[in-house]
Amino acid sequence: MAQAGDREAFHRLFEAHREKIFGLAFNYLKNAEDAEDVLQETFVRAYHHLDRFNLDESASLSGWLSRIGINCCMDSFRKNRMKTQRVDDIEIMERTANPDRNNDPERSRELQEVREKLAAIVDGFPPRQRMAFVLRHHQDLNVREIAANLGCSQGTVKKMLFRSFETIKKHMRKFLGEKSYEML
Amino acid sequence: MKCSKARELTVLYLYNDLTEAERASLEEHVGACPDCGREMAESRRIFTLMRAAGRATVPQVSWEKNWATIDARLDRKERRPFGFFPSRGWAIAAASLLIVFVIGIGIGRLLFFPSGRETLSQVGAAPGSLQASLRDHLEALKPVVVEYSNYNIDRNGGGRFEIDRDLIRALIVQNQLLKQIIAEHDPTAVPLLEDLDLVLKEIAVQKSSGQHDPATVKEIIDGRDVVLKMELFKKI
Repeated sequence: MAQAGDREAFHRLFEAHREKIFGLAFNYLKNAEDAEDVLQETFVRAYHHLDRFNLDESASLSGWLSRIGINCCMDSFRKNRMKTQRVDDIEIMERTANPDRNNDPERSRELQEVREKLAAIVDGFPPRQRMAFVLRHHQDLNVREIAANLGCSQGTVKKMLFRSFETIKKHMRKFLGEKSYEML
Repeated sequence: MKCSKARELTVLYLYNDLTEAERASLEEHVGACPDCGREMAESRRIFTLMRAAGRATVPQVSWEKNWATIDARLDRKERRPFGFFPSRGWAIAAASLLIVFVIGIGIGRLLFFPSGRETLSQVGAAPGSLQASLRDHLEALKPVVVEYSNYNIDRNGGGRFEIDRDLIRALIVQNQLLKQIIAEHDPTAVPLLEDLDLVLKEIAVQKSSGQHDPATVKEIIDGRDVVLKMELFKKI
């Protein structure tokens, strides 16, 4: 029905998928305002291209929307990078985002530092590598699913995840070496 | 299994994303190789820490407000919202280049077609001259696009691309201007120029930030069939 231009049906589509698309955009862009822009852009593009979605091939509507969302995320990221060096609001966001889970203030502070460090490392990844990492680490997609979403081979996804983890390890080793506390 | 292969598989092992055979082979190698054993222990420690640190909680937003914005946009056919020209300086540079560009077309036409078939006033907006400008523009971009498109991470090993940063900036502006001018006469060329815009900006960002990643540029080019589209437009 949404495909026939029924606005009410399209609204139901929005209700069913909005959290997934917004979650993906927020984890990728680390900024609620930009994530809302991506959410809106994803559904506007989807509405205008609903005729391209082929219901007969038992394709996944969720997967199709995700692919549009992924492209919107990467477009937004690339173009925002051109405008200015982003104000890093990750720290503020993450500081309020994860409440103290084990009531140990010292442990909580240490984990907070790790979260901030990790976010800063991932911020330096190229757009597609960053997306592969977000889909694996935050969205729990496996290599096959990531490859389908990014439109590339599983080998490429494996390489991107390998590079991501190598970079994280390199920076985290240095980071942990500078700390006086033992994290684990 | 070689040590290099074991290192490659480690991250997938930690995410539990290996086949049974790969997992068994990796565990066997790590058990027998002290270096890879130490590397696996270190990787596991950092991975556990990443998991323990958790994920940022997705903030609450107003779905109604977002739907209202989407609903209002559904009825109008619009351009993509992520615009360019990040600063006034860019806009001034673009305007200056537009003048140079249009005058350049006029002078070029006068020099190469002195017979007077077209007057200077006709040249600026004539569809024929715009097609010629588009072809010239695509010709200027071709070496850059083809070089990135032919990039092979295994063969090139991340080798440097010697492309001048100022040239890329000039091409971005020229691409933007041509897109705006040609949109009125030949809208079919606009998607190609938008793709090229994305490619050039990615290269410019990498040049500015010092993050050399030709594979990402290649993925944009290949993913959008930019080379094929360029060839098709040059033949029109």
